[in-house]
Amino acid sequence: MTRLLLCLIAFSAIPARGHAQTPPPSFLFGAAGVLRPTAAFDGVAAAGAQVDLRYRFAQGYQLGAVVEGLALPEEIFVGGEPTREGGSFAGRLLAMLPIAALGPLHFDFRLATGAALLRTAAQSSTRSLTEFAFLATMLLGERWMARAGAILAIELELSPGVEVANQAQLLSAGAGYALSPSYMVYALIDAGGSLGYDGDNAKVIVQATLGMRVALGRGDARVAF
Amino acid sequence: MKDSFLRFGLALIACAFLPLAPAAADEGPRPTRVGAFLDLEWRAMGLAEHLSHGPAFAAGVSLLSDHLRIGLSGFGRPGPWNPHSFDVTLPEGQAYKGQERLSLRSDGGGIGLHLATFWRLGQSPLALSVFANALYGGFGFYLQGEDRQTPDGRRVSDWENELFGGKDSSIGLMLEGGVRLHWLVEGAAWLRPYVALLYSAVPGFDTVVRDSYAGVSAALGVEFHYGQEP
Repeated sequence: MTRLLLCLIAFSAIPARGHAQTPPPSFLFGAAGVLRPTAAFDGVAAAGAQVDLRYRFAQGYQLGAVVEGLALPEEIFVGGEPTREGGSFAGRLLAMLPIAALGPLHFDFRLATGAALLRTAAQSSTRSLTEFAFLATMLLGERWMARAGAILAIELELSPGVEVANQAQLLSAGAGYALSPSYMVYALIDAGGSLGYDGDNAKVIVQATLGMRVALGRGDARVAF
Repeated sequence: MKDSFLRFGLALIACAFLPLAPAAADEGPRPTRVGAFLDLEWRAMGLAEHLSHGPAFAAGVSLLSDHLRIGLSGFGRPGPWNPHSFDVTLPEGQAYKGQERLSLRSDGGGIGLHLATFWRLGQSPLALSVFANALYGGFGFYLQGEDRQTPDGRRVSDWENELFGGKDSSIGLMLEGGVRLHWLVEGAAWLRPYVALLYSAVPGFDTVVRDSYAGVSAALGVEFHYGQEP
């Protein structure tokens, strides 16, 4: 664990990479709807909304926070037991670290960490959330942007017991369309396998996200997120 | 076991991107001897004598003008997306919900080190990559459908552990090796779609269902690359 912390500290000290036509620093606001089907695609596991506010520095770094509220009609797992009809509220701190830029291609590493409160009629659960993402963002002309990446997500249940609830490897793909330099609508699909509760979790995660990003002030919404 | 898997994965993730490329200039390509890559692919897996599929990735740094690559690699074989079932007969005198023969599904995954070489084939728009992955992972088998509702309300994994004596999965070192054929897209040097062929195995794999989960896989993927052309 000490080694991990040292690695993260060293990582955060890496100087920023340049970006083609670097946008000025600004606040970025995002709002999105989220939908997760059940593993068998025969129902809704989660549906809700998330909003985020970040500050994007001139070098491309981003720091911010995300909050998310979800209704969980089906396929909820607490303590490894399946249950239904609940809800969750999550908050995460987020850091985006630019790795490199080559023309329209931008490489970024995104780290998010936070906590979630999950409640059903029968019980409640507290979880820690950690996510690492390697993202490639491509500017396709003036208005279009495409994104692809790999996401490693770890959800650790802290109560009622301590157990890994989800350890997922997801591929991410999506596209954005800029209505203007300050406003961009986007759609994303994240999908992949997940191990949790010694194999008792849903085993897969699929999430569709449809949202809008707004750059405040002189900022540009057409940046990695 | 899972805790060490988690710690191993976290340490790798944190360290994988430490030796990054020098800063890129604001405009246009600036070839550097150290670069970065992100490979995303979907695999068709011919493992354990059946066909399955799942996502995989590799990400890291490219060195020596992109001839050597070091990074992190992972893959998944999600059970719910692969309906192939495996029949297993319980030991004599044992039954689960009145059944002596059970139909199981399988899932698996792994994460670990990625090592590769990358060579352009003459002046053609093609490049060949030879790679090896040393992962921590494996595969398991699990009760499916109505059988996941246990007769006494205990967790399914408890029942699986009891029924199969803990041999419902086999996790440990997993080795993969293969080749990729990349297409170097003209005018978009950072984009390199590819096809891949690889062999993978979990040494010492031992479960009540299979004693091997090795085999050949094919993949279709896309690479995003920053750095010098090979």
